[in-house]
Amino acid sequence: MTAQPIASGSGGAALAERQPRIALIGSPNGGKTSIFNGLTGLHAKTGNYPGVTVSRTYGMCQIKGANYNIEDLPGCYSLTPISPDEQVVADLLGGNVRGIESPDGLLVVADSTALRRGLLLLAEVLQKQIPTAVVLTMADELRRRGGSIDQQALSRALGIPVVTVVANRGIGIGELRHLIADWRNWSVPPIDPPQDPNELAGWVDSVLDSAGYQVPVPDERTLRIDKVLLHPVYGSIIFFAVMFVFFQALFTWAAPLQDAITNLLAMLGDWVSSVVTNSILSGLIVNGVLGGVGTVLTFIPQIVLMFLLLALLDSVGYMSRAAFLMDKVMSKAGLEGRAFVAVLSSFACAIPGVMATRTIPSSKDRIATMLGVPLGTCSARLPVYLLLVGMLVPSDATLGPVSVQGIVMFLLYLLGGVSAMMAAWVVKKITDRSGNLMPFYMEMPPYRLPRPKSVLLAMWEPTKAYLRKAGTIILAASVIIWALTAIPGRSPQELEAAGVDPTDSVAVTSYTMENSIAGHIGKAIEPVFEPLGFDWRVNIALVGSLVAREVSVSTLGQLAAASDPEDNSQVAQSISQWTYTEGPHQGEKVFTAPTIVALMLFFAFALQCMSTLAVMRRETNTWKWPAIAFGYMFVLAWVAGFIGHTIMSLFS
Amino acid sequence: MASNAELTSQPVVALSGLRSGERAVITEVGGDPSIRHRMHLLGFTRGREVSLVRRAPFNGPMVFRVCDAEMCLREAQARLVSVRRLDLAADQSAA
Repeated sequence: MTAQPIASGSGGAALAERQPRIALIGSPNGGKTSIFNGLTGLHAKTGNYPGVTVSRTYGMCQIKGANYNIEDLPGCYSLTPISPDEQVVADLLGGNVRGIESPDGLLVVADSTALRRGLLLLAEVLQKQIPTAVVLTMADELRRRGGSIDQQALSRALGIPVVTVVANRGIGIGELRHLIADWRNWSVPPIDPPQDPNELAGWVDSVLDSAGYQVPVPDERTLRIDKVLLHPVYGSIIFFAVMFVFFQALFTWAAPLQDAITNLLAMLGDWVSSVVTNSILSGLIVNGVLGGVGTVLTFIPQIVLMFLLLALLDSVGYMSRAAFLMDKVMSKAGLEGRAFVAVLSSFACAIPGVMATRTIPSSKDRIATMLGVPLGTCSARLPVYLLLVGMLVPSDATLGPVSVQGIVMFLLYLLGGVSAMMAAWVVKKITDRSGNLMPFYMEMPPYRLPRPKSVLLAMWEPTKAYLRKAGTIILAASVIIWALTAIPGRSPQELEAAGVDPTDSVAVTSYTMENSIAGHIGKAIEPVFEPLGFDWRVNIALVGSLVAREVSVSTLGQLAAASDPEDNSQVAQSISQWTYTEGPHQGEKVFTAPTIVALMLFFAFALQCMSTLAVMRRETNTWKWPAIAFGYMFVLAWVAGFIGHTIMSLFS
Repeated sequence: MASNAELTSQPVVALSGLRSGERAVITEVGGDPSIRHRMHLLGFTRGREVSLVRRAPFNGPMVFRVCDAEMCLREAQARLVSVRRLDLAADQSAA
């Protein structure tokens, strides 16, 4: 690009009509997000850069009646890429990203307490010869720590405009908006900083000198707090306490809200059933649509709570401390400390777990973690485990003081955790074949008070994204799966001819389900699951489990015409009487120990939860990774079930 | 600020060899070109002062103070940087 006072990026047709594009560049903890939020507020959108798993945040800002496109580039320390994620930023600045024009102006957001490093990135930006301006942040902290800088002198020394913003007090945002509106007057940088790193360090020092930069002293408060929070003993204890609270929030605190939502929808469903006479239509609305909406909404409390806590912990600065403490352990699985939160979340539910991978900078690590997280023993597996363990082990069996049922449950949890880490390790090994080991570095920012607005926006945006993209997929899948188990509907004549009392709704449901499309599917896939001991009715329950794992319990109950399919002991009683209806084992009991163990292991490893698949699709912007996850976990589940069945058969 | 190397007569050691609280001056950054460039942009350049703030147990990552900010590196990256510890006498004159 030639040096001109006004530049318009690539493809500069109809300047007057096209909205100016301003990109924010800066280090991850430098207050760039606050600036972005301050400019775009609720008008921000997230998506992905085309063709890659790197998330893209952009929004609209209206200044004096004109609209400006603000792009919040991923936080970085350098424009020279060492990873595919960073390559996207470099491509974007060069105008090489399909469908996205390069920016008209670059706003470098620099933390004024870390300018000696911040100017290094600024130097790289200046070399791009795109109109640039600087926003200094954390000015109040700079003053508090005994530092200072002459903004005008800095601007003179660099030859480009400089403004100061104290985001949490709204100071300077007006000035910044004026600056953006004035983007055409941002000159292409007149100064070309040296490329050699040692000369560059000298250049930074001389610029700071001429700007009268007084270095702030290290933050006393941070040093004192870190003495405790990063103490090998006390720090670890506090860390486990914080993680325990985090986990409890997802596992327990969200529950009342989830129950409230379920009850509300159940009431709505009852009303619809009483009003709509056509049983197929009412079934569609109540079980398909409302059931689907219910499934989508039940995850909201967990997602909102998780992102609230993540935003709080992150903006305070604790997340990097947590990652510091967990890095050694996570590196054993080929991951890094920041992946810990995602793995922990998966023990409550894989959906927040998958979404928590946003905290991991490297896209390879994100994918590896995402593909491992669904193996964590989530709360939806519990009803299934409880049912099966209850059938396998008598409730009074003890090993010393501990109940055997408890031991088996604990082992299942352990299995989930260990296999999640191992799966992530394997995926990382496979995707890292190029051997290009990324260096690990992570900033430990000073502790800062979080901005309520930023925290709220950090909660709102992922929730919005989940509802729009994942929510629609989940709703569609719910309706389809309901249809599989309820169609074709049976008329009273058909029912009577088959010996079923049309007024006995339990028997009607059981008959309809057995002869539904899912029933045919269940019979058709019998050869696949026969080595695991599943019969066609268990297979129908597997189809039902695609909506949610716990649905398989009630599906089994409905098939067995249990009077209350929600009651575990009733369901267990009914299904333990099942015998194979055909085939080589006709007449033998279905739920023998080998079958029960096989089913437990199948549920431990299989990715049936299509909500998880929907969220993976949303987070990776492609069906490729959810498909791979579904595929590999299906194989794993089948093999584990087969091995379990075979081994238990040796004991019977 | 750059060129404190003359202020110390200590031998060259790896950054990963520092003990908590020790201050040093960077003499060289090793590794392949892309890693070197990244370390430079994080503030680790020849002549800059660096100190070890703390180290995680069991050879975990290490937190360094460089360019007025705290940056965490794993042992493998810290091993690539060569430093000379600052003499106690030089401590008084270093900013």
